[in-house]
Amino acid sequence: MTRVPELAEARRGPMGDAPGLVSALTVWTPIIPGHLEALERELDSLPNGDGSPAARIETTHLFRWLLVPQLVHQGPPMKPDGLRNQYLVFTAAFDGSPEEYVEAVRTRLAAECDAIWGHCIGYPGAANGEAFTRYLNHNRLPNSLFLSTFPDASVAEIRAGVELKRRLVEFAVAAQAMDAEELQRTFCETFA
Amino acid sequence: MAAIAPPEPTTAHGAADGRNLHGRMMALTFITPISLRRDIWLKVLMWHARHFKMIKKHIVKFPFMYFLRWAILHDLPYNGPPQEKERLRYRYLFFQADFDGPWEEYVDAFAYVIPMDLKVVWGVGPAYPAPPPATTLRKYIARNNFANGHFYCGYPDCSAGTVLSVVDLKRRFEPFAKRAPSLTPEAFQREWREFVTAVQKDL
Repeated sequence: MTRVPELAEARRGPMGDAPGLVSALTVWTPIIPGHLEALERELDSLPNGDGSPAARIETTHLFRWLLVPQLVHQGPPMKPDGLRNQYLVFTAAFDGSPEEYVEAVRTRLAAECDAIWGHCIGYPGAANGEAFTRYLNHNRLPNSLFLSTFPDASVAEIRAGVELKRRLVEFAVAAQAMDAEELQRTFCETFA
Repeated sequence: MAAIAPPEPTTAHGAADGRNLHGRMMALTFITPISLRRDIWLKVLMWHARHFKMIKKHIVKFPFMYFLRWAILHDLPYNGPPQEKERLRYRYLFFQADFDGPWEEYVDAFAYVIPMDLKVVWGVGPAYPAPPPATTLRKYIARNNFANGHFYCGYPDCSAGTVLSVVDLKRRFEPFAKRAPSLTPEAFQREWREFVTAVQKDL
């Protein structure tokens, strides 16, 4: 029987996981022996792009699952070394706190979490909120340093900016032939 | 129970699969060995990077970068059997970066513009190629880059430069739009022209 030690606090370093508005998570979970290929098939079956389950969480900048069956041997003078278990690594960058994001992952990606982390040792299932959070926190690797080129920009702000740019370009082209009164009226109607 | 992992591969899992791209965003994941001495050095270095804006700005100076993360791996949480407790001989530097487009395009920039920065972080660890030249760094990255099993980006069509640009545009636009109804038509027209001139690079 597998168990998860009771840990109230996440294993994290101060500030390394949050450079601004954007926070980061890195979680390493051990794969059940013999489950690597099944897990890889499960990951392959997830839809990509807008169909990705991660798209259901609107605060997601980045979301990835990757497999680390073993570390890479760099050749001499590196001495033999290696992992005794295979790992599933989950990393994400998102707006808000890690606690809120973990809860969003649990509730909005419940089926995918169970299908993916179900291949990992000690995974308690998404239905049990407290155990799920404890499991991810326990297996969390503190980021020593996390940096973003735009640490204070939310996903919503970036998407709104893209849409605003499109509308402004359209408006600027149409506005070239307008007099002052029409320009102001149309602007206020368009961007009210 | 015996260790289940295959011994000492010389290439990262899935390195040749090319599953690291979503839209314009390209992911890089490295896990490379470091000495105990370098572990201490990196902890000091990263503490300073977390606390001093100048260092942060220096690190994210390339406009094609989205996110960078480093973590030092020396033990991994134990979840009970059948997991075996890890006993790693080395500490490992876990590094993830997200770029605008394929990393191959930026290898020259890394090798020739920031070789000292790379040396400061990765030092002269086992098999680290210490660029320049770029060719050896290219091979090193290709060999050590773990493939994503699943990868999602919230704005796949935006380059890192576009993100900065549209956020700047939005922040300049909002106060102007708020003021617009209270201006006279002539004043509005003048301010509109000034606004368009100011944000032209972002449109």
